Amino acid sequence: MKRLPWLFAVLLVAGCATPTVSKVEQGDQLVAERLAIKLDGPWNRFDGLGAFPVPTWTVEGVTVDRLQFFVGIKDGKTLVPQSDAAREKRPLTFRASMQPHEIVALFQTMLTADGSTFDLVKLDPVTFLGGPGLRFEYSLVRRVDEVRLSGFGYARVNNGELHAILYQAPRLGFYPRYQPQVDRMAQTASLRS
Amino acid sequence: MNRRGFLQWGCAHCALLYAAAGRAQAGADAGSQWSIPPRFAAPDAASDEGGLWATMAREEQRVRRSPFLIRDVKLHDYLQAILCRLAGSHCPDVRVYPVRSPHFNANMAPNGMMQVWSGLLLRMDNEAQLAAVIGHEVGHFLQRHALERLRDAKSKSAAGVVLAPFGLVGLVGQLALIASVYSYSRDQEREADTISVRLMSAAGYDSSQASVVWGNLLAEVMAGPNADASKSSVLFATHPASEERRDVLRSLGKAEGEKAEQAYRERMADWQLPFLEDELKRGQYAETIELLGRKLAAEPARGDFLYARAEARRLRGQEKDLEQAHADLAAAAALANAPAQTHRSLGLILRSRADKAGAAASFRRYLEAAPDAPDAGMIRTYISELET
Amino acid sequence: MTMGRNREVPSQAAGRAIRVAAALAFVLAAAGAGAEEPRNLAPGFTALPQNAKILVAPIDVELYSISAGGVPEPRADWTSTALGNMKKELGRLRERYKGETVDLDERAADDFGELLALHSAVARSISLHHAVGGMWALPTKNGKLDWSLGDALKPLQDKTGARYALFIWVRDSYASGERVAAMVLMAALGVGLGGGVQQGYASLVDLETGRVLWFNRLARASGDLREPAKAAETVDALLLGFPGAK
Repeated sequence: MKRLPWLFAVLLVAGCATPTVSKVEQGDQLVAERLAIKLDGPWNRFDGLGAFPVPTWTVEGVTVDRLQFFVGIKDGKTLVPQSDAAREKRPLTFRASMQPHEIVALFQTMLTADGSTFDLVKLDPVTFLGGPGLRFEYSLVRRVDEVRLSGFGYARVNNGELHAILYQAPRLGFYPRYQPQVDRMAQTASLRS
Repeated sequence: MNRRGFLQWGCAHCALLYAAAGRAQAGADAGSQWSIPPRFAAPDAASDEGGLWATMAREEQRVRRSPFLIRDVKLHDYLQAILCRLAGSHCPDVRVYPVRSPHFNANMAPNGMMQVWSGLLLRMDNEAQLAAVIGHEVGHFLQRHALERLRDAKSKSAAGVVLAPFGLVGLVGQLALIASVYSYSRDQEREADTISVRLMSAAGYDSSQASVVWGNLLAEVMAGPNADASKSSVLFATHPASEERRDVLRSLGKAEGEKAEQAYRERMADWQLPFLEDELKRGQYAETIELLGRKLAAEPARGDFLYARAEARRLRGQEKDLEQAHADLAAAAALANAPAQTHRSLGLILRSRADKAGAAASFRRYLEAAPDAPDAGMIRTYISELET
Repeated sequence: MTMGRNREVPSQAAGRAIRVAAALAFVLAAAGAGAEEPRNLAPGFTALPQNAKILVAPIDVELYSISAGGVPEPRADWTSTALGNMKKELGRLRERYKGETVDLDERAADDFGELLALHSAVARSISLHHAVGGMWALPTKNGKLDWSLGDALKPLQDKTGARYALFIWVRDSYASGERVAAMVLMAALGVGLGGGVQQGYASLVDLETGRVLWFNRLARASGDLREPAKAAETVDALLLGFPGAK
């Protein structure tokens, strides 16, 4: 159901919010001043607090693919800013004591807040940012326009902080195209303190 | 908001409708003379009814194309058979679409397209209860209530709201919006209730089950922490429960005929676990626990219900929740019909209590029961950590 | 102060002004067409081969009513009317096309829901990041219409035998009576309230390679799709510059 997003886009264009889009060049990059990554190709990065509370990148556009970086989320903080009402209903609060299944459940809650449906496809331990972490794959049917997406995430809790990389794109055509390079990028990512 | 206000939540003009003290009990047109009307001819395309059909045909196309449509032939055929039984001579004109959505909803559009949502299927205890809800919607269809509403001068400006529920309502915000103005008038709801009882009896169902449906709904919503601000509980957005409806149906229903409890359980067996998982994903744990408490009261030896109730508690994680979850999981684990996830949840709880041996054993049982589980890789890591 | 447009109670003068503006927009669009690198065309693509077979996907249109509070509500009845009007004009244009056009059978379309939803998502990104562009442009695209769905749409080619597909999408909203009243009041108080927006696109895709070959975005200030003449104008505007064989 393509109900709201077109209107949202129109409002944004009309200047209700003023995000910017900048280019991230191939090669070594630093995200949120702490996450060091290596890119195989250039990306587009959105900035603009209201619409994009965490670093959000894309190759093909807002309605197609999305790469998000969660860097240094502290114990007791929410993954993304939430209103008091939203936090009471379905909190996105990270706790440093969370175990892998709980971290996945946290992202699941975030991804399904708009009524999208989430199915876990895989959950494995991996080395991420130089230490024990997790990698999960999921499929998502986006409620607002019924597009089927595939996604994956890497996450690790280090010194009581959560760091994660999340990527999703349409199951057909786009996820197979970009998943390998984003996976490589996540695997070689490192943390600066 | 006081309790009566809560019950009429989301309906701006309902407060007026229900407030009158000496309201007539049987205000419905469906008196003792009512009989099922003849089949409808396809309306003239230029008429308002024709326009309505064309509009609904388009909505039906979208439902058919939607990823949220449940494309299980066996489930579809089962629901279609119940619908046909109730619709009688109108059977060729009605089509059912099961939709994957964890809310309580069923509706029938003026062109004969019916949606039944999985949240509703989960909440029914037997076929008669399902027939009550389907029969109610068939009642609206047979009496052409939607067309009546559209023609009503007052609702012309609210035409969008009259029609909206028949589309694929997905966004939580949309559900709340639709709930804010009823599609049907109070008289129409009463008429549909009366007709549903008649259709149920004619089809051989125990019509006293209709009242039970609303009673159960009420209990579930009341259990939620937001019982006062129930606008936020979109579970029943399109079918607000009311004590009055429950009581009226209780007086109309007759406790004779089939409940078809066993048949319903058998036909729903494959979908129980997926629907339970959907319910858990709603994250409304108090309502889920209330629902499962009711289910378990009727069927105490159901491993899947015990697992789901335990999981709701484990995920909520408030004081005493983990203890109670543990008890439910231990009970489930002893049953042959427990889903594999039971052992995973038990393992996670025991792991959090540093019961290493117990946790490892549970995780092993999980992997035995579900060797291809999505999280098998992570579980194996837990086991090796626990056993070093 | 901006006077929002409203289509439920248009004044004579406002109606005339809107028609002039629309005509001007057409003129400007036509004038701009040859002035710079064609934004509507994929790099290296100029026109379809002679008599190319085109699949015409079901028109995706949705009309909304905006209440006093500014909340858009979908109006299935208005949409139904608009769809009928647009199909009529599209049918007329199809008759004039020299090659073959085919429809996606309604029953067949049930199996292609995911593909249609996918294309729509890509097209909406093209609309925002390329057709609108500006602060929304994606730097990596270098200002070019450079999008491809890969092999995702091949099943459509296999089903219909068409190498190319045309997609049309329109969203439009109209102020309800209450909203118009609110707008009039707000205007009197010196506050602008938008009446509604009409947005749409027409997209031509190579089903075999997945490349989006031509893309035309429409943003009009007027044009009630519930009226046959206006709906026809919208369809014509959407297909302005369609790269048929020369």
